[in-house]
Amino acid sequence: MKETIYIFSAGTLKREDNSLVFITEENQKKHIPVENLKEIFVFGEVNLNKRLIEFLSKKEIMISFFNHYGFYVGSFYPREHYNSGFMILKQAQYYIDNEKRIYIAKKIVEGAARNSLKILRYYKNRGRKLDNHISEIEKNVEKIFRIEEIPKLMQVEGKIKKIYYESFNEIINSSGFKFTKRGRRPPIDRINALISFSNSLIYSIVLREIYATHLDPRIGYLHSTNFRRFSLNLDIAEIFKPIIGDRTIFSVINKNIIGVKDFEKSLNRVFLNDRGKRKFIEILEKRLNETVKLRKIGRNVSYRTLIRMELYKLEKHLLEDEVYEPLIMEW
Amino acid sequence: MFVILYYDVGVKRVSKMLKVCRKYLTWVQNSVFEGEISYSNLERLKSEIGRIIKDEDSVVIYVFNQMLYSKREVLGKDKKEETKFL
Amino acid sequence: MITGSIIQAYLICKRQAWLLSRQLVGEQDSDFLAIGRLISQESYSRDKKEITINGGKVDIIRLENGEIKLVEVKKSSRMIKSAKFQLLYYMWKANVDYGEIRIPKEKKVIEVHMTDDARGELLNLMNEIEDIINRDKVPKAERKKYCKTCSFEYFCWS
Repeated sequence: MKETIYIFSAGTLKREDNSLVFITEENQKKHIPVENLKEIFVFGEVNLNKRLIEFLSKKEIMISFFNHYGFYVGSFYPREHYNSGFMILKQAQYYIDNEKRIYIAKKIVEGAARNSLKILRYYKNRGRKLDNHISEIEKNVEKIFRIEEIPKLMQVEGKIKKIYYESFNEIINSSGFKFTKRGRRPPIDRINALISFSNSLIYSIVLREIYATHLDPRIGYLHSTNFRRFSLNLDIAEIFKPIIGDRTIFSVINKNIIGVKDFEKSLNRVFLNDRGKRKFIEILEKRLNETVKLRKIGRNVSYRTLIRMELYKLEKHLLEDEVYEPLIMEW
Repeated sequence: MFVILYYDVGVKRVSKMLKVCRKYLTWVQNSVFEGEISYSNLERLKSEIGRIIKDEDSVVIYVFNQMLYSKREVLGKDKKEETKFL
Repeated sequence: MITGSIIQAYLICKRQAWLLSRQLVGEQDSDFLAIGRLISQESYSRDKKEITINGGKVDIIRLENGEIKLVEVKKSSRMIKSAKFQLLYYMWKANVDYGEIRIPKEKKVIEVHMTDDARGELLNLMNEIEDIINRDKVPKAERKKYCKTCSFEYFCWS
């Protein structure tokens, strides 16, 4: 299993002796084992050059950049190595045909909603008052099946998300964390800051898994394709946000891993400081590397592998091999 | 899997060994490396090392399929390079 | 279009052959693939290697006593039949009558001759393969012992 590294300090990342080194501002050299690396997340002020980019491309290493607040800026997506014109045409064909497109989009919304419900039921069994939230979401899930247009689907998806996020106040028991309403830009409270940061990370993680498949990240189904930005990773991330991201959010708050001191405020924007970001990443990574037993494979696979397998399921749907059904957590 | 690797090679080959090991593993202290590695990368590392060393040199690799019953203890300073968070 | 790797795959798994015919390749960092690649790179590294012929890559090409010989390097003799037809295919393409399959780990060399029988079997096999890869739909996944070491395992069983 290849690794992800996270750069918070300022310095220079460069190619040296066919491997990577990071040189800090204090001129300290840190060696990064390049053969065991799959992606780099950059949060600090890092200098790099074309020679490095060429090397990363050769080694199939993706590099993603985040701004000071932890927001996603962009990625260097190395030259495709799993190129299949056939698959890209299938992907486009399923995007252009509205009936085909909406089937996939609905399944993504349904998968996200059902995984959110799993989380709520888990906390309900631990005594939280979530009956209303659960039944409201269930009602909206029923509506999904009758929808025939993307904008309408987005509306229902928005409603489900709103109810789901409101439940966070019931699940989180810490005085320092109160959810007001979902505000993305800028995040208006600490929970929103965590959600935004978590989503940014998951989008990049899914993007890196797309790179390991034959799919083109620019063609999504729920999120419209416009060629300025990746959208398939946003789609698939929906299914994994509750399972991976939100569970990490609850655990860092409820287990007091992240506290009020791990946040900063500037103007009306709340965001995690570097220490907070690092702690969050550590727990998120643990979750990604956690394994579950898969009957079809007869072995344990990690959550990260589950993301890649979700993409394969989509590929098989496009090949008319197996109809796509989203991963619903069963454990 | 996880490996611990150490070497004792002729002076002329020390820097070559250092460079090759750094591509795959994390430096722990002089002539000692450790880290997670895939089966195929370990084979590649061994073949790269094979091309460097001479008969009188010695390289030892411990391979652990899992670390469940192991413990890492350090007395004095832990010189292992941090590579996850920089 | 048929390639050497499609021929090799076909005898083990028809589904894999279909996928390969659409450039849908398995996970390249799968340990089993990587080891195979490493073995053909490392062994006989003095020879000129990896010759591209229309439809695939042969590991080694050698001139011996004025005759050309093709060599395929494999990691074990477990799937020898598919290796043999892959090599026969390259020999047929390159118009070469003699080839060898070498398995360095087992110190084995298997001779392959382009006889009339062999040519006939190869052409029949190629017809069968054309039939499968021209189908619109991918053949369904079937669980085989081979799946455990296949670079498509996560794809087929996701």
